[in-house]
Amino acid sequence: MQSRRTGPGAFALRHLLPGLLAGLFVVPLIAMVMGSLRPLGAPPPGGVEFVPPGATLRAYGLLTDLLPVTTYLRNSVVVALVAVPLTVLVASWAGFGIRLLKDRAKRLAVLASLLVMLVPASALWATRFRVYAWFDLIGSILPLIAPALLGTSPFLVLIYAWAFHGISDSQLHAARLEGASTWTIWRRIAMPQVRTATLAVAILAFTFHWGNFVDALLYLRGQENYTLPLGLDTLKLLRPTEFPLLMAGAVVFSLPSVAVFLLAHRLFDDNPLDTLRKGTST
Amino acid sequence: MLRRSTGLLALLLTMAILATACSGTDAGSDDTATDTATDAGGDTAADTDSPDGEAVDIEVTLFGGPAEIAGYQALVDSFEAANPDITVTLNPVAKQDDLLANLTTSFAGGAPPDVFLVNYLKYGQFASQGVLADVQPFLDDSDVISVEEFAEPPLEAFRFDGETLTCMPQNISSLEVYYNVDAFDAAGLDHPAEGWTWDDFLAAAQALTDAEEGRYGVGVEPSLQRIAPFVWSNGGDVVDDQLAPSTLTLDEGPSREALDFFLDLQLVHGVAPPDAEEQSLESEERFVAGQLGMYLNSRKSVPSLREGIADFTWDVGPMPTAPGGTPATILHGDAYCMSADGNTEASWRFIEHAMTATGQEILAESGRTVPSRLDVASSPVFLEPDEPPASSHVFVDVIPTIRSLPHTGTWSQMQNQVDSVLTDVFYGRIDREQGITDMISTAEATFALDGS
Repeated sequence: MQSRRTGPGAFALRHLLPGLLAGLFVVPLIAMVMGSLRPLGAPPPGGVEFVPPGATLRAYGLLTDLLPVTTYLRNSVVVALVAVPLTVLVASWAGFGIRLLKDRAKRLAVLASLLVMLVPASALWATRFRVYAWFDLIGSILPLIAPALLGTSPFLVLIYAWAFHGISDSQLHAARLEGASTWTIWRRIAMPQVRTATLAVAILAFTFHWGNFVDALLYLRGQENYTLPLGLDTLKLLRPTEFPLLMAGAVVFSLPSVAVFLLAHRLFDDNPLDTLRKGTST
Repeated sequence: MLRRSTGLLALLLTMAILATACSGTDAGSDDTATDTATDAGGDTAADTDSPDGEAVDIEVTLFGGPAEIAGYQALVDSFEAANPDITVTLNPVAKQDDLLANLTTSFAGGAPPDVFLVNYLKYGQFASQGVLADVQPFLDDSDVISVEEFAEPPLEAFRFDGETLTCMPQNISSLEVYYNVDAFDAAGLDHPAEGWTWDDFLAAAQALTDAEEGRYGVGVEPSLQRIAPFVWSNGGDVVDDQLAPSTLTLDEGPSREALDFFLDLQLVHGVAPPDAEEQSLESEERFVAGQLGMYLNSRKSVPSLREGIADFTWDVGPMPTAPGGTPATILHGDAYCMSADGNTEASWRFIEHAMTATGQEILAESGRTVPSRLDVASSPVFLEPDEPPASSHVFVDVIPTIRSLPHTGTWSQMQNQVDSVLTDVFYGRIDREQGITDMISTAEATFALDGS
């Protein structure tokens, strides 16, 4: 095991390869930031251009004149702040519930979750619309939060089910013998052992809710309720000579995601691969 | 730990309440607006469907870019100032595809917007389901506007059954030829003008093409909408029956000649940017960059061209005419439609306001639309003699030659499918004959759904 940590192959695996992969993902971000610094009115560059001549921050100033971006940003933040923790809570409850089932029932629950995942999202648009309309929620941001009440996605529930699977029956039985309730076992024994899964679910839930364009398009009414994905979609219609505004909007839209990624990266152990390898046995 | 968990739950509940409060704030805003409107509305409140004379709110869903949305917001502000008993919730979306997703879901979900703006090729799918309220009786009873004030082609396009006006046309744009005046002059070419022919068009495109330098004569999107004016000008037709089409007629006589002329621009003469060139720089951007002699599009390109072109002169001319044929172009028009289940009385008052000279002038100022009101289309508000294109009057001059494609329930779906095949043929990805056969069979299969 020591040789894995010190050999040149290990160095390449631990640093070089992740560095190259990270570079691939950073290039579009750099191009986006640089594009947002281009002067307005100029035709788009014919090729790759990393440092625009006459770089300016004017696009960011004009962005708020063009669209109520701060309102959109506020709504997106509210949705993410409510929906992400709610997703973690519900998905972990559901996942823990599956863990506690007997083998046959557990298999059925996992199978049912997989089947639900196969249902195309568009097949639910009209049905959900009717449900939201029934509760008089159409127009507000609540339909964007509502999926969190179901764990946002069966996939997130399955992540927790898989993570809780690493907790031994003997631990659970011992806790029962000590008189712990299901609630206490979930809170004090199960959740502390699946922190990596919680982080993964939180990141995935944030990604979903932050970039949720379709639900915003279908269920929101009035610009005072719009979220950032709708605003960004509108910016895509700008003229070619105004694309720095689109890039500025994309930067504003992407920054929170980048921040969440960096924060999550720090919360992982030194090497995320090691963390994942440890799985739920930590 | 118990305290921490309780705290977590309390935090979540607080956030949920906060989110609800945000939503409630919006509702509260509406209430405030309602109160204000009721106070100021006075007697006019009785004109709407609202019980007890209270102000009503209508939803208006439409599509457009930021500048257009600003224009629509100005229109809404103007309407609300003149009609304090009605408040408008404006729901702008970016693209027509977004609009259709929104509309189909909200109609299926039983809560459609009261008013929506839609293209004439796309309203058929709603009209055919009987979910729209005809504007004809409202227009007949109106003391504010009358049918004679509007151009006929879009009115015709929005009569779903051919007789009763279903939606109220907002604009009457058409396909025309934007051209680089400096490039035409440098090549010694006559400018596009009434009476110029396909031969003149092709000769100009060839003279302006220098593929090695990345310059091309003409940029055009391969689609049925772009091909139709060539077909009509040559005496052909796109479909067998305008009101109840069962097949495309592009493989026959003059229609096939026009289709071949269009496809040859790319496949034989090479005067249109090839596939890779178009992918790397779309025609509108290429025209702005001075690397395209002519660009075929509707009025919607004007704001973009005004903004982007600074170092050469550009103008607009009519579509070329087939040898021995007649001038023809195609309608690019949108209209306000009313949901049958909505508040039609208040909805009509909004539409009526948008159709007044004042309402149309507000939107005409964006430069993007050609007003459907003839008086506004002929006024300096639209023609803007100090702004390019100098020949904006072309959009008004060609009105008698404007024709439209069918507006049946399946047309939009059919056109998406056929345009995809047409694009493959235009860029040489598939064989021409095979492509034409595929287009016709695809169209026939889709048209058949109209009768099912």
